Amino acid sequence: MANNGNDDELYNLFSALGEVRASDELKDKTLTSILAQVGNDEADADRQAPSTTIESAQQKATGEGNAGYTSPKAKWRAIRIGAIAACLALALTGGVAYAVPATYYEITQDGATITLGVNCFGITVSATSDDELGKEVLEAEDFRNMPYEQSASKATESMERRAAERRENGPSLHPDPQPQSQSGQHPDEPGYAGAPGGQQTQPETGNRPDEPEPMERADDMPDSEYPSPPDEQRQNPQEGSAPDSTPENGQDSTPYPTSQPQGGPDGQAGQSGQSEPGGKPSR
Amino acid sequence: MTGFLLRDCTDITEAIERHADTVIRICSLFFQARPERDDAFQETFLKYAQSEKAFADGEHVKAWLITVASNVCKDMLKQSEARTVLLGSIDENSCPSWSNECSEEGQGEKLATALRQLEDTYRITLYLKYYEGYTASEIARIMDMPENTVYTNLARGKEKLKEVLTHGEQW
Repeated sequence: MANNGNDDELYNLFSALGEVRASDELKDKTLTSILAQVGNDEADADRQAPSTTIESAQQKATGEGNAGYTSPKAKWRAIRIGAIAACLALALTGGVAYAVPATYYEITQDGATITLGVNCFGITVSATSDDELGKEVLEAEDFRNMPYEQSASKATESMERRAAERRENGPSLHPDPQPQSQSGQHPDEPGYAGAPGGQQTQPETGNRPDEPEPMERADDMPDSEYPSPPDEQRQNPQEGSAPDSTPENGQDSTPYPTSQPQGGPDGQAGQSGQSEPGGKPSR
Repeated sequence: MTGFLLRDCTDITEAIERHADTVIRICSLFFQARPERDDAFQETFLKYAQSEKAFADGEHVKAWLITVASNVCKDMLKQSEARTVLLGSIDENSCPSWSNECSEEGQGEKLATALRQLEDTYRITLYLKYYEGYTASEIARIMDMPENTVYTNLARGKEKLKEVLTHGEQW
């Protein structure tokens, strides 16, 4: 027998299997037993009731409620919603943690002060200043949203640059009105540079007429850092002043010779054997 | 978690209505006795109800049920160690639905008995080919085997079936 004929015979032979069918009773029983797997006790009781159709069994099953099982779609929908909620919570928490400063750093340079707010990630998120120079620097540049080290170095450089520009261009807004009498006149003082006007009484201290601060700073500094020999000698005559430079006679006790002879030999020449007018150290 | 269903009642009911006959025929290829056939039938649809697999269409469901029914029957055979009923020892009372519903009683009965004497793979392959009308590639996808293996199983299965059937009558 040829193969094709053999196949036809097999097709005809297997067609006999078409008579094998599942009875309605078997279908009903199967559906009921499946629904009973979720612990529906009433479905088991109804199994004994006359129920020969799938529809009646279905109605009974739905009447008892579908509690206890979900469809795959509902399950994935719940998972999707949970994932979205978790992402939103994470984004919100991260945003708050980024935007709120955890630490504040104050940088002072050339008299200007800038306060940088740094978050827990080390990123600068705020920059403020209370003084004029600092505000100018902040208006010109933005130090936020960068690492703290970078913003601190940039702020420092900016403040230095601004202060240097101010010095070159002159006092822009607030010249110092108070005259400076002593600071900056003595060679030992930091502002003194030997300029012709260095010993003159200037409104601002130091070498240059347009330098306000050091004059004032010198007054604020303790005396030990800015020695003033004339004052010290005046205050401590034993340390180095000449016996004839005592101010008893009303003479000037400075060690430097003056143009007017004072004191004279009337009262002092006999004491020390000197006939000089006074004020000259005799050591 | 045997009592947890992942499909709704409508889905299960529709699957039973559409594919019950196919599943019962697969179970009939393994079991002569009705109680075992019915148990395998219910077990197959219970697995469907507890499965979270997403199906593309009805044919996809049918192919999945054929595979699951075959595996369920094989598992039950292994557990009970029950083999196919020999020729001449068929109890009509034990399978009234089968013997009463066969229009060609002789050939249908012989065929079912003969198929139960073949190996599981040959049995299913021949059924899918000559009754369900699947092509070799479709059978390969359902049974998860190479297409050439399907051709080989078909050839060997036909030879075996021929030998079994010619024991009683001329082919």
